[in-house]
Amino acid sequence: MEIEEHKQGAVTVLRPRGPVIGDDAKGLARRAHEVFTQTRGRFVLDAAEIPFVDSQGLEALLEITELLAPSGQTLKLCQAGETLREALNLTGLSDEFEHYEDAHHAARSFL
Amino acid sequence: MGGIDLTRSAWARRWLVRGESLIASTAFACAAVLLCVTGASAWWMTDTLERDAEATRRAEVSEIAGVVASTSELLLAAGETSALRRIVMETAQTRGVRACRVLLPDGRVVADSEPARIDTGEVPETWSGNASGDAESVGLLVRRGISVPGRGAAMCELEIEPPGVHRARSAVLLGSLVSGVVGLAMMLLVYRRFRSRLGAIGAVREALLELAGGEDETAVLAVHESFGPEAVAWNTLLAERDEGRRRDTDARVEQASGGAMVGGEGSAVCDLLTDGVVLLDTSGVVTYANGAAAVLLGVARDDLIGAPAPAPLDAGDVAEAIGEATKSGSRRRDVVDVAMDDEGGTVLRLGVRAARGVPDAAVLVSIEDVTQLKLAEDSRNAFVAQATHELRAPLTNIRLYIEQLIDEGEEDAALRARAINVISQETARLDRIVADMLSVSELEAGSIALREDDVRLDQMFDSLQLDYVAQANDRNITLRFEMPPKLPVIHADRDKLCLAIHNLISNALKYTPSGGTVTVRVSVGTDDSVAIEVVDSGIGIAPEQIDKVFERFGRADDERVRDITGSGIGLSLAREVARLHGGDITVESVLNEGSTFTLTVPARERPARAA
Repeated sequence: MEIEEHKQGAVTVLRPRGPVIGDDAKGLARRAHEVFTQTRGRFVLDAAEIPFVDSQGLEALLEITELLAPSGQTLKLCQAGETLREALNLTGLSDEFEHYEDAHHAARSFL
Repeated sequence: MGGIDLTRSAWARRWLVRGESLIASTAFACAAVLLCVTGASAWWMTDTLERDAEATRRAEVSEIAGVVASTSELLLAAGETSALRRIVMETAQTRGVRACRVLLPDGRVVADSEPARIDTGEVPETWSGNASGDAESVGLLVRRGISVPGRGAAMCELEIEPPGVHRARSAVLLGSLVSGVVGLAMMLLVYRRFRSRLGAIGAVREALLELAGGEDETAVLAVHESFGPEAVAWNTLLAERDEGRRRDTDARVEQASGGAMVGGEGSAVCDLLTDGVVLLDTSGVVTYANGAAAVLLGVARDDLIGAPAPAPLDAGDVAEAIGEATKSGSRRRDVVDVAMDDEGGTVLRLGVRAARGVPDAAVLVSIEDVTQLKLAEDSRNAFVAQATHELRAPLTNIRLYIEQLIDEGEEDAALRARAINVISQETARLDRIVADMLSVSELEAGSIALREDDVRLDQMFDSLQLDYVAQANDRNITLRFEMPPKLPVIHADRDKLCLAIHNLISNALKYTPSGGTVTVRVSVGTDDSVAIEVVDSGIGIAPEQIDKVFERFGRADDERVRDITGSGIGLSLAREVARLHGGDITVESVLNEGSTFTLTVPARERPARAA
């Protein structure tokens, strides 16, 4: 899985391309950890190109949430597709994240 | 669990063990009695069966003896010894008796089922002695008297086969014994398997009843762990309850003593904040820092607390403000913005004030990440400046031509025509700038929407060509429109799509130097999807700047474009419009050679119209 990164102002947008499964999930969590340190938490996860996630993918998302939680932050997800939203709803994890329509709106939440 | 006193449970344990043993002993006694009753029943049943079988058999043999006796009388009277002996032998063989014989009163055997026992060759003509005609049973023998007229009395004797019921009875008794032993063994196994568990459940049950009765002491409620895992789990629950109470008590004590920020509820509340909170004592040592402070300062929380104030609290205006607040205890709040030396360009806003009434703390420093806010402010300021400039340029042209018209317009028809043409172009330019701004406002408010209808692309590009030919000629730029012979009618928002293409073309003209070329190329897919390429031979974009061109209010950090005006919203808006149509805009560029922006609009289904 490739993780595209771009800046929306001072906010880093992580945009994984492909399903977040298996070792890719660990890679995403690892990259999020690095970006968290570099940006002091100013990053969002653009899920537009995540077709689906498995249990390890959900764990990775939770791991990122737990990374942010001690500093009062919540993982900002944007453009989550129907499959991902359904997976989050079914597992009761949807409320663990902040959901945004797109990366621009997510970045604006840092204002 | 190690701390739980189990002195009380010894009594309960003895009671429970004794109770459990009584139950077990009673169960075993009942099983033994049941086994004995079963055995006795089997014995009685088999004995009864044996007696019945023997009586029946004896009656049968008695009847057979009667028949043999009657036959013997006739044969002895006729002197047919051979026939008599054959009948006796056949009787023994076919009637299931062990032996059959005919004897004279003196004991001599006339006929026997075993010929070897016959000791009378010929039967005498007469013989003495009496014989009873009634049947008589002696042990296994059934005897019947025979009276041979004119010759004397004799006796028919049949020996009954010993009954086989004894074997059946032995088998039944043996079976009962084996099943009883197996049953007892299984009971023992089950008992041993569940003995400890039953004991644990009983002990826990008793503890629960005591708890329900108001007992609260862990030492009283605890159960000896030798009862097994259930007892261990119960004791764990009790220990966790005690630990929770202890923490609760500690937190309350902490709160009551004013130390809520260190480990109590206050700390948890502060960890929910996205802004950092740092408390410093009079010597500048950190006594508390919340999670956000640790992240924003880039220092692990454990390393922060108890250490001197880290950067940027230890230098410059911040250190000065902290020193002042420590010394004066003033209620005033000093705010200092600090640019951090990191790759993210972080800007922190630090608020410093005296921490009155907070134990072990002299100064409170609040930390806010204003990086994005600063960037947004800078972008807005730049946008306002650029927008002002963009608006001023056409307005200046319009004003100049109107003044010329007022002064000389009545006499110079050519001037009038040129002025009207320029005013028309500049008004259209103003219109686009205002439309851009309105669209940006809609985007910011999240209220932008498409007003779709059929769009004739050939008409739209004809209009675009007319709009830009003059501008391109003025700047000595070759503007080419390369269209397929036939363009489809697509379903889209004409105004917004036109605005997006306007922005791409005007952008290309803006960054292409005199003598250059701008080509607008349209290609149509088989499904009526449209790709519009705007290719210029302009200054190009450095690879590291490509991401910035689509940022709202963002402009490339390039010396070459400093003098070129632009609001920084055109490309961002164009891409938003493309995405609203389900398409996108991509860019390929080579520095100093030119750029190609490609806007794609997929084929969109027309909504069904009412007839």
